[in-house]
Amino acid sequence: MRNVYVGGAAVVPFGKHRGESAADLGAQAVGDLLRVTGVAPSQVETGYGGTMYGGSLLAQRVLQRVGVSGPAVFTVENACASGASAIHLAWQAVASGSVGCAIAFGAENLSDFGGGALPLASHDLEIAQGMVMPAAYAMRAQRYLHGWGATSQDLDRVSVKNRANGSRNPRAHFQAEVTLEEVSESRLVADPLRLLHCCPNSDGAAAVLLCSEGFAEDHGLPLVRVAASVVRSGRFSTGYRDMTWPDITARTAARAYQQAGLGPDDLDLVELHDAFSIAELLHAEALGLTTRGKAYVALENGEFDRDGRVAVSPSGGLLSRGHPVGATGVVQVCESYWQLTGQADELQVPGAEVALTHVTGGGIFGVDNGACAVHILTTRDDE
Amino acid sequence: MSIAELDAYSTGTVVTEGNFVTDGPEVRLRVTRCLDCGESWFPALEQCAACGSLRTSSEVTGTTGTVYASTVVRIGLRQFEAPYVLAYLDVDGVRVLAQAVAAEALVAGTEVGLRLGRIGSTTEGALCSYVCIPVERSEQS
Repeated sequence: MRNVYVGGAAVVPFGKHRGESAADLGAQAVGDLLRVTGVAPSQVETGYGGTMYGGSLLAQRVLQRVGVSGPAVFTVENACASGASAIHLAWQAVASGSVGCAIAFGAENLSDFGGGALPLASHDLEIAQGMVMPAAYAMRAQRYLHGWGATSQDLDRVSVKNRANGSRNPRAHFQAEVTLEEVSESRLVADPLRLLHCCPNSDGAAAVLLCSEGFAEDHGLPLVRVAASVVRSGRFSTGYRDMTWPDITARTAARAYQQAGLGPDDLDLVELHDAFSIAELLHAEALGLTTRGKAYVALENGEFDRDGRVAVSPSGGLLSRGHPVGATGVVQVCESYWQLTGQADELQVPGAEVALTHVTGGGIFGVDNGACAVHILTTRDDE
Repeated sequence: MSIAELDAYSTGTVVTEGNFVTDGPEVRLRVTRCLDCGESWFPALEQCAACGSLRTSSEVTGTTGTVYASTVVRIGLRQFEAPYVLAYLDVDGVRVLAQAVAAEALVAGTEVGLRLGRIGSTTEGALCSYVCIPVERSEQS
């Protein structure tokens, strides 16, 4: 396997894009990507498009509009990890040596579904009993608070931090800060989770160029190395299990750290899948950013702030940036690329050299989540 | 007693009917135990999803369980008529999600009984399935 580099990034700002389909948004992102990198469509040797609700052959419908038609392209569905799964497959294609340049994108339009909780998979045992995604996280939250001595105010702090980060991000869906009081007084959705503990349903798209070292040098592209690209599926169990320990995240991250030869202490920033505020606490622990049961203490101490020990979701996270499902895993890599190349403007984490992105998703019964993807990016030399 | 006869609880469509049996007003879940690796499965499977073994036994659980976690769903799908309480229950080796007959989220560790009950409705009538009731309440009723 050879080294793979991120050679460029482009994002259609997240928010409400009524009247623009996932394909429209995807084509804008991919078109921007080709413009900013100066790569000709004919040089793109393969493409992967991640989407959950964008429909069949989205990758073709997007890429053909910017002049990429003919090579192998694939539409990838892995729920909230769809976009990151597309990146993983593009990474495999370049790492294997079969192509020198690949595009991966994610695109979604959720406005078509109206407000409220997104529909989960049909014919699911738990959905038949009334399960919705906020309830799944709410029960993890109740159990976490019960087991580790955290309070609902600790959940509020996650939202306050990430909304403050997102207020600096012109690509974020929500660009207004919120106070602890506003979070704690917002409407209950599924106890103890309130409206401001939940990410918004958003529309948007994001795209990245993955390439070999030679391709990047030929095009004068800043080099950000993909030090790890790992996808895992949820382990199916209907027995007793600890729902405050996202095993899928722990397994995916462990493999990613091994692949990268890096560990949690090397990370300058993490873009984490905070679909609900409790998720930041659970995944921060499973990623090894802090000891078990202590993420809420680290958060309160400012360790996850943009200028803290390890910046967690400096772009605002899903809570602020929004969650166009299939695009989320790609925008995390875009934001990290800009961080590591010093282009993050007001979001910049000083001296950032190593970033980790994490998505996990898919509400099906019997697993933590259906799929999880972790990428580690770095400007450090390969050792 | 057949499900249809439990009209106090079950006038309506029964959801996931094949996954449980009734024992008077009480419910027992149909589960599978793997005879090779010991895993427990609900709903029942013919093949163990952990080790792939076909050597499994079909069993039914007892009629009580313990709450692992719980919430009140305040915004949900129309047919479930929010607000309603959901709980993960530990029942004889399986963890099962059920609606709870309660006004608030149940505290972890609460002992509950499994009953047939109403979980929602559609234009065609009530939806029924297994529900849980805190043991003290079910003893009083």
